[in-house]
Amino acid sequence: MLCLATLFGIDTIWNEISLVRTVLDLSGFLTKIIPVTALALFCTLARLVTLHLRNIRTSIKENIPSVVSRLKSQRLNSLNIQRNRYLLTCKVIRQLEQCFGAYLTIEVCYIFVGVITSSWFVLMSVLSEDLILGVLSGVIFVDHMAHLYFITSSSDSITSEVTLPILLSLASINSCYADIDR
Amino acid sequence: MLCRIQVEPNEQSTPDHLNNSINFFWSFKLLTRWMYLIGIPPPAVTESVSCQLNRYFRIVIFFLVLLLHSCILMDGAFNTKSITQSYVSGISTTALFWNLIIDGLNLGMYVVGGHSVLLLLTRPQTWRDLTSSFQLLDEDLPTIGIYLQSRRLTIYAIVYIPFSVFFTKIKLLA
Repeated sequence: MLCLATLFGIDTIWNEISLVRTVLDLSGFLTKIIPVTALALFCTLARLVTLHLRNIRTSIKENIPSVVSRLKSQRLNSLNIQRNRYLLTCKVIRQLEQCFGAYLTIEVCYIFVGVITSSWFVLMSVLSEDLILGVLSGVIFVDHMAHLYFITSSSDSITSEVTLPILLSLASINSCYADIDR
Repeated sequence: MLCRIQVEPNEQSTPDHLNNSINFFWSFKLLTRWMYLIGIPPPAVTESVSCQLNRYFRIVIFFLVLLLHSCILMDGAFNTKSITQSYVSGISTTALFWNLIIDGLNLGMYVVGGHSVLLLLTRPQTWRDLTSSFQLLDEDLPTIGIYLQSRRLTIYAIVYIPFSVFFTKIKLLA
Protein backbone atom coordinates (compact mmCIF):
# COMPACT_ATOMS: atom_id res chain seq x y z
CA MET A 1 0.00 0.00 0.00
CA LEU A 2 2.88 2.35 0.69
CA CYS A 3 4.20 1.52 -2.77
CA LEU A 4 0.86 2.58 -4.21
CA ALA A 5 1.02 5.83 -2.28
CA THR A 6 4.59 6.43 -3.54
CA LEU A 7 3.41 5.73 -7.07
CA PHE A 8 0.64 8.27 -6.63
CA GLY A 9 3.05 10.88 -5.33
CA ILE A 10 5.69 10.36 -8.00
CA ASP A 11 3.20 10.30 -10.85
CA THR A 12 1.45 13.41 -9.57
CA ILE A 13 4.71 15.32 -9.30
CA TRP A 14 6.19 14.24 -12.63
CA ASN A 15 3.08 14.81 -14.71
CA GLU A 16 2.92 18.19 -16.33
CA ILE A 17 0.25 19.86 -14.30
CA SER A 18 0.21 23.09 -12.41
CA LEU A 19 1.61 23.27 -8.91
CA VAL A 20 -1.69 24.60 -7.64
CA ARG A 21 -3.52 21.59 -9.02
CA THR A 22 -0.98 19.25 -7.43
CA VAL A 23 -1.31 20.89 -4.03
CA LEU A 24 -5.11 20.89 -4.29
CA ASP A 25 -5.27 17.22 -5.19
CA LEU A 26 -2.82 16.08 -2.52
CA SER A 27 -4.56 18.17 0.14
CA GLY A 28 -7.94 16.95 -1.04
CA PHE A 29 -7.17 13.34 -0.56
CA LEU A 30 -5.54 13.95 2.82
CA THR A 31 -8.78 15.49 4.11
CA LYS A 32 -10.41 12.10 3.55
CA ILE A 33 -8.82 11.21 6.91
CA ILE A 34 -11.64 13.03 8.67
CA PRO A 35 -14.66 10.98 7.54
CA VAL A 36 -12.64 7.77 7.77
CA THR A 37 -11.93 8.68 11.41
CA ALA A 38 -15.69 9.04 11.94
CA LEU A 39 -16.12 5.55 10.47
CA ALA A 40 -13.43 4.18 12.79
CA LEU A 41 -15.10 5.84 15.79
CA PHE A 42 -18.51 4.43 14.89
CA CYS A 43 -17.16 0.91 14.36
CA THR A 44 -15.22 0.85 17.63
CA LEU A 45 -18.16 2.21 19.65
CA ALA A 46 -20.51 -0.29 18.00
CA ARG A 47 -18.06 -3.09 18.74
CA LEU A 48 -17.89 -1.98 22.38
CA VAL A 49 -21.69 -2.12 22.60
CA THR A 50 -21.60 -5.62 21.08
CA LEU A 51 -19.09 -6.75 23.70
CA HIS A 52 -21.29 -5.37 26.50
CA LEU A 53 -24.33 -7.16 25.08
CA ARG A 54 -22.36 -10.39 24.85
CA ASN A 55 -21.28 -9.97 28.46
CA ILE A 56 -24.90 -9.41 29.52
CA ARG A 57 -26.04 -12.46 27.54
CA THR A 58 -23.39 -14.64 29.19
CA SER A 59 -24.27 -13.40 32.68
CA ILE A 60 -27.97 -14.05 32.14
CA LYS A 61 -27.33 -17.56 30.83
CA GLU A 62 -25.24 -18.37 33.89
CA ASN A 63 -27.91 -17.20 36.33
CA ILE A 64 -31.16 -18.19 34.66
CA PRO A 65 -31.58 -21.79 36.06
CA SER A 66 -31.70 -20.48 39.63
CA VAL A 67 -34.32 -17.92 38.62
CA VAL A 68 -36.55 -20.70 37.34
CA SER A 69 -36.17 -22.62 40.60
CA ARG A 70 -36.49 -19.34 42.58
CA LEU A 71 -33.81 -20.44 44.99
CA LYS A 72 -31.48 -17.46 45.55
CA SER A 73 -32.43 -13.84 45.73
CA GLN A 74 -28.79 -12.93 45.24
CA ARG A 75 -28.88 -14.31 41.74
CA LEU A 76 -32.16 -12.57 41.12
CA ASN A 77 -30.44 -9.33 42.09
CA SER A 78 -27.62 -10.14 39.70
CA LEU A 79 -30.13 -10.70 36.92
CA ASN A 80 -31.81 -7.44 37.80
CA ILE A 81 -28.46 -5.71 37.38
CA GLN A 82 -28.05 -7.34 33.97
CA ARG A 83 -31.54 -6.16 33.02
CA ASN A 84 -30.63 -2.59 33.97
CA ARG A 85 -27.39 -2.86 32.00
CA TYR A 86 -29.37 -4.15 29.04
CA LEU A 87 -31.73 -1.15 29.21
CA LEU A 88 -28.75 1.17 29.48
CA THR A 89 -27.13 -0.51 26.46
CA CYS A 90 -30.33 0.05 24.48
CA LYS A 91 -30.12 3.73 25.44
CA VAL A 92 -26.50 3.83 24.23
CA ILE A 93 -27.54 2.28 20.90
CA ARG A 94 -30.19 4.99 20.47
CA GLN A 95 -27.57 7.64 21.20
CA LEU A 96 -25.22 6.11 18.63
CA GLU A 97 -28.04 6.14 16.11
CA GLN A 98 -28.71 9.84 16.78
CA CYS A 99 -25.02 10.77 16.62
CA PHE A 100 -23.99 8.71 13.61
CA GLY A 101 -27.22 8.40 11.60
CA ALA A 102 -26.42 11.32 9.31
CA TYR A 103 -22.84 10.19 8.87
CA LEU A 104 -23.90 6.67 7.87
CA THR A 105 -26.27 8.12 5.27
CA ILE A 106 -23.43 10.19 3.81
CA GLU A 107 -21.11 7.19 3.88
CA VAL A 108 -23.56 4.91 2.07
CA CYS A 109 -24.16 7.54 -0.63
CA TYR A 110 -20.40 8.00 -0.99
CA ILE A 111 -19.89 4.26 -1.34
CA PHE A 112 -22.71 3.98 -3.88
CA VAL A 113 -21.40 6.75 -6.12
CA GLY A 114 -17.77 5.70 -5.61
CA VAL A 115 -18.46 2.13 -6.65
CA ILE A 116 -20.10 3.33 -9.86
CA THR A 117 -17.30 5.76 -10.76
CA SER A 118 -14.49 3.36 -9.92
CA SER A 119 -16.21 0.62 -11.94
CA TRP A 120 -16.38 3.04 -14.83
CA PHE A 121 -12.66 3.76 -14.53
CA VAL A 122 -11.91 0.04 -14.47
CA LEU A 123 -13.95 -0.38 -17.67
CA MET A 124 -12.13 2.55 -19.24
CA SER A 125 -8.77 1.07 -18.32
CA VAL A 126 -9.73 -2.22 -19.96
CA LEU A 127 -10.83 -0.43 -23.15
CA SER A 128 -7.69 1.70 -23.30
CA GLU A 129 -5.36 -1.05 -22.02
CA ASP A 130 -4.11 1.11 -19.18
CA LEU A 131 -3.00 -1.27 -16.44
CA ILE A 132 -2.14 1.34 -13.80
CA LEU A 133 -5.53 3.02 -14.06
CA GLY A 134 -7.24 -0.36 -13.80
CA VAL A 135 -5.26 -1.52 -10.79
CA LEU A 136 -5.73 1.74 -8.88
CA SER A 137 -9.43 1.89 -9.69
CA GLY A 138 -9.76 -1.71 -8.55
CA VAL A 139 -8.05 -0.88 -5.27
CA ILE A 140 -10.45 2.04 -4.75
CA PHE A 141 -13.37 -0.28 -5.45
CA VAL A 142 -12.08 -2.71 -2.82
CA ASP A 143 -11.72 0.15 -0.33
CA HIS A 144 -15.37 1.13 -0.86
CA MET A 145 -16.41 -2.48 -0.30
CA ALA A 146 -14.32 -2.57 2.89
CA HIS A 147 -16.14 0.52 4.19
CA LEU A 148 -19.50 -1.08 3.42
CA TYR A 149 -18.44 -4.28 5.18
CA PHE A 150 -17.37 -2.39 8.32
CA ILE A 151 -20.69 -0.57 8.54
CA THR A 152 -22.88 -3.60 7.95
CA SER A 153 -20.89 -5.94 10.19
CA SER A 154 -20.96 -3.44 13.09
CA SER A 155 -24.73 -3.13 12.89
CA ASP A 156 -25.27 -6.83 12.34
CA SER A 157 -23.11 -7.81 15.32
CA ILE A 158 -25.30 -5.72 17.65
CA THR A 159 -28.54 -7.26 16.43
CA SER A 160 -27.09 -10.78 16.56
CA GLU A 161 -26.26 -10.34 20.27
CA VAL A 162 -29.84 -9.44 21.13
CA THR A 163 -31.32 -12.88 20.67
CA LEU A 164 -34.85 -14.02 21.45
CA PRO A 165 -33.86 -16.25 24.43
CA ILE A 166 -32.28 -13.23 26.14
CA LEU A 167 -35.42 -11.18 25.66
CA LEU A 168 -37.52 -14.05 27.03
CA SER A 169 -35.13 -14.38 29.98
CA LEU A 170 -35.49 -10.71 30.78
CA ALA A 171 -39.29 -11.07 30.63
CA SER A 172 -39.14 -14.06 32.98
CA ILE A 173 -37.08 -12.00 35.46
CA ASN A 174 -39.93 -9.49 35.61
CA SER A 175 -42.49 -12.24 36.21
CA CYS A 176 -40.33 -13.81 38.97
CA TYR A 177 -40.13 -10.47 40.73
CA ALA A 178 -43.89 -10.08 40.41
CA ASP A 179 -44.42 -13.52 42.01
CA ILE A 180 -42.01 -12.72 44.85
CA ASP A 181 -43.84 -9.46 45.56
CA ARG A 182 -47.14 -11.37 45.80
CA MET B 1 -5.55 32.11 26.53
CA LEU B 2 -4.14 28.61 26.29
CA CYS B 3 -6.20 25.61 27.29
CA ARG B 4 -4.82 22.41 28.71
CA ILE B 5 -5.64 19.64 26.32
CA GLN B 6 -7.36 16.94 28.34
CA VAL B 7 -8.17 13.59 26.86
CA GLU B 8 -9.14 11.83 30.08
CA PRO B 9 -11.23 13.01 33.01
CA ASN B 10 -9.47 14.81 35.84
CA GLU B 11 -8.55 12.18 38.42
CA GLN B 12 -9.27 14.48 41.37
CA SER B 13 -12.92 15.00 40.51
CA THR B 14 -14.08 11.64 39.21
CA PRO B 15 -15.67 8.69 40.96
CA ASP B 16 -13.46 5.86 42.13
CA HIS B 17 -14.27 3.48 39.31
CA LEU B 18 -12.87 5.96 36.78
CA ASN B 19 -9.54 6.04 38.56
CA ASN B 20 -8.92 2.46 37.53
CA SER B 21 -6.38 2.47 34.74
CA ILE B 22 -8.37 0.29 32.35
CA ASN B 23 -11.73 1.80 31.49
CA PHE B 24 -13.66 3.32 28.62
CA PHE B 25 -11.41 6.39 28.38
CA TRP B 26 -8.27 4.30 28.37
CA SER B 27 -9.54 2.13 25.52
CA PHE B 28 -10.39 5.18 23.37
CA LYS B 29 -7.40 7.31 24.33
CA LEU B 30 -5.53 6.70 21.05
CA LEU B 31 -8.57 7.55 18.94
CA THR B 32 -9.30 10.75 20.89
CA ARG B 33 -5.67 11.86 20.55
CA TRP B 34 -5.88 11.14 16.84
CA MET B 35 -9.00 13.32 16.68
CA TYR B 36 -7.00 16.16 18.27
CA LEU B 37 -4.39 15.76 15.55
CA ILE B 38 -6.90 16.06 12.70
CA GLY B 39 -8.53 19.15 14.16
CA ILE B 40 -11.61 17.73 15.88
CA PRO B 41 -10.73 17.75 19.58
CA PRO B 42 -13.34 16.03 21.74
CA PRO B 43 -14.19 18.07 24.84
CA ALA B 44 -12.81 16.98 28.20
CA VAL B 45 -15.41 15.24 30.32
CA THR B 46 -15.14 17.34 33.46
CA GLU B 47 -14.86 20.82 32.02
CA SER B 48 -18.14 22.66 32.40
CA VAL B 49 -17.19 25.27 29.80
CA SER B 50 -15.53 24.24 26.55
CA CYS B 51 -12.05 25.61 25.91
CA GLN B 52 -12.08 28.68 23.66
CA LEU B 53 -8.91 27.65 21.86
CA ASN B 54 -10.39 24.26 21.02
CA ARG B 55 -13.52 25.91 19.66
CA TYR B 56 -11.58 28.28 17.37
CA PHE B 57 -9.25 25.45 16.30
CA ARG B 58 -12.22 23.32 15.23
CA ILE B 59 -13.87 26.17 13.32
CA VAL B 60 -10.65 27.14 11.52
CA ILE B 61 -9.92 23.57 10.44
CA PHE B 62 -13.51 23.12 9.22
CA PHE B 63 -13.40 26.27 7.10
CA LEU B 64 -9.99 25.28 5.72
CA VAL B 65 -11.38 21.94 4.60
CA LEU B 66 -14.48 23.61 3.14
CA LEU B 67 -12.33 26.12 1.24
CA LEU B 68 -10.03 23.40 -0.05
CA HIS B 69 -12.81 21.29 -1.48
CA SER B 70 -14.56 24.31 -2.95
CA CYS B 71 -11.30 25.17 -4.77
CA ILE B 72 -10.95 21.59 -5.98
CA LEU B 73 -14.49 21.57 -7.34
CA MET B 74 -14.18 24.96 -9.02
CA ASP B 75 -10.81 24.07 -10.51
CA GLY B 76 -12.22 20.78 -11.69
CA ALA B 77 -15.33 22.37 -13.18
CA PHE B 78 -13.36 25.00 -15.12
CA ASN B 79 -10.43 22.81 -16.16
CA THR B 80 -12.00 19.41 -16.58
CA LYS B 81 -11.41 19.32 -20.31
CA SER B 82 -7.66 19.70 -19.92
CA ILE B 83 -7.65 17.24 -17.02
CA THR B 84 -9.50 14.61 -19.01
CA GLN B 85 -7.11 15.06 -21.89
CA SER B 86 -4.24 14.10 -19.63
CA TYR B 87 -5.84 10.72 -19.02
CA VAL B 88 -5.59 7.72 -21.20
CA SER B 89 -3.20 8.97 -23.87
CA GLY B 90 -5.00 12.25 -24.41
CA ILE B 91 -8.44 10.78 -25.03
CA SER B 92 -11.10 13.04 -23.61
CA THR B 93 -14.72 11.92 -23.60
CA THR B 94 -17.92 13.39 -22.21
CA ALA B 95 -18.38 10.35 -19.97
CA LEU B 96 -14.91 10.83 -18.48
CA PHE B 97 -15.62 14.54 -18.09
CA TRP B 98 -18.80 13.92 -16.09
CA ASN B 99 -17.26 11.05 -14.18
CA LEU B 100 -14.51 13.34 -12.90
CA ILE B 101 -16.96 16.05 -11.89
CA ILE B 102 -19.22 13.58 -10.06
CA ASP B 103 -16.15 12.06 -8.44
CA GLY B 104 -15.00 15.42 -7.16
CA LEU B 105 -18.49 16.31 -5.91
CA ASN B 106 -18.78 12.94 -4.19
CA LEU B 107 -15.46 13.31 -2.38
CA GLY B 108 -16.20 16.92 -1.42
CA MET B 109 -19.61 16.08 0.03
CA TYR B 110 -18.19 13.05 1.83
CA VAL B 111 -15.36 15.01 3.46
CA VAL B 112 -17.41 18.09 4.37
CA GLY B 113 -20.38 15.99 5.52
CA GLY B 114 -18.20 13.68 7.60
CA HIS B 115 -16.40 16.65 9.12
CA SER B 116 -19.70 18.35 10.01
CA VAL B 117 -21.02 15.21 11.69
CA LEU B 118 -17.84 14.83 13.75
CA LEU B 119 -18.07 18.47 14.82
CA LEU B 120 -21.70 17.97 15.89
CA LEU B 121 -20.77 14.75 17.71
CA THR B 122 -17.97 16.44 19.66
CA ARG B 123 -20.12 19.28 20.97
CA PRO B 124 -19.61 19.31 24.73
CA GLN B 125 -23.11 18.20 25.76
CA THR B 126 -23.46 15.49 23.10
CA TRP B 127 -20.01 14.02 23.75
CA ARG B 128 -20.48 14.05 27.51
CA ASP B 129 -23.90 12.36 27.24
CA LEU B 130 -22.39 9.60 25.12
CA THR B 131 -19.32 9.07 27.30
CA SER B 132 -21.34 9.18 30.54
CA SER B 133 -23.58 6.39 29.20
CA PHE B 134 -20.51 4.26 28.53
CA GLN B 135 -19.17 5.12 31.99
CA LEU B 136 -22.42 3.87 33.55
CA LEU B 137 -21.93 0.59 31.69
CA ASP B 138 -18.55 0.38 33.46
CA GLU B 139 -20.31 -0.18 36.75
CA ASP B 140 -20.78 -3.81 37.80
CA LEU B 141 -18.64 -4.94 34.90
CA PRO B 142 -17.17 -8.32 35.93
CA THR B 143 -14.18 -8.19 33.59
CA ILE B 144 -11.94 -5.60 31.95
CA GLY B 145 -11.46 -7.82 28.91
CA ILE B 146 -13.97 -5.68 27.03
CA TYR B 147 -11.74 -2.63 27.22
CA LEU B 148 -8.62 -4.57 26.24
CA GLN B 149 -10.44 -5.71 23.10
CA SER B 150 -11.69 -2.17 22.41
CA ARG B 151 -8.19 -0.77 22.72
CA ARG B 152 -6.89 -3.37 20.30
CA LEU B 153 -9.67 -2.41 17.89
CA THR B 154 -8.82 1.31 18.09
CA ILE B 155 -5.20 0.45 17.25
CA TYR B 156 -6.34 -1.50 14.18
CA ALA B 157 -8.65 1.38 13.23
CA ILE B 158 -5.86 3.97 13.47
CA VAL B 159 -3.57 1.75 11.37
CA TYR B 160 -6.33 1.32 8.77
CA ILE B 161 -7.12 5.06 8.45
CA PRO B 162 -3.96 6.08 6.50
CA PHE B 163 -4.34 3.12 4.16
CA SER B 164 -7.91 4.07 3.38
CA VAL B 165 -6.82 7.63 2.66
CA PHE B 166 -4.23 6.45 0.16
CA PHE B 167 -6.88 4.40 -1.70
CA THR B 168 -8.19 7.49 -3.34
CA LYS B 169 -9.09 9.16 -6.51
CA ILE B 170 -7.50 8.42 -9.82
CA LYS B 171 -7.61 12.10 -10.69
CA LEU B 172 -4.43 12.43 -8.63
CA LEU B 173 -2.63 10.86 -11.53
CA ALA B 174 -3.58 13.77 -13.71
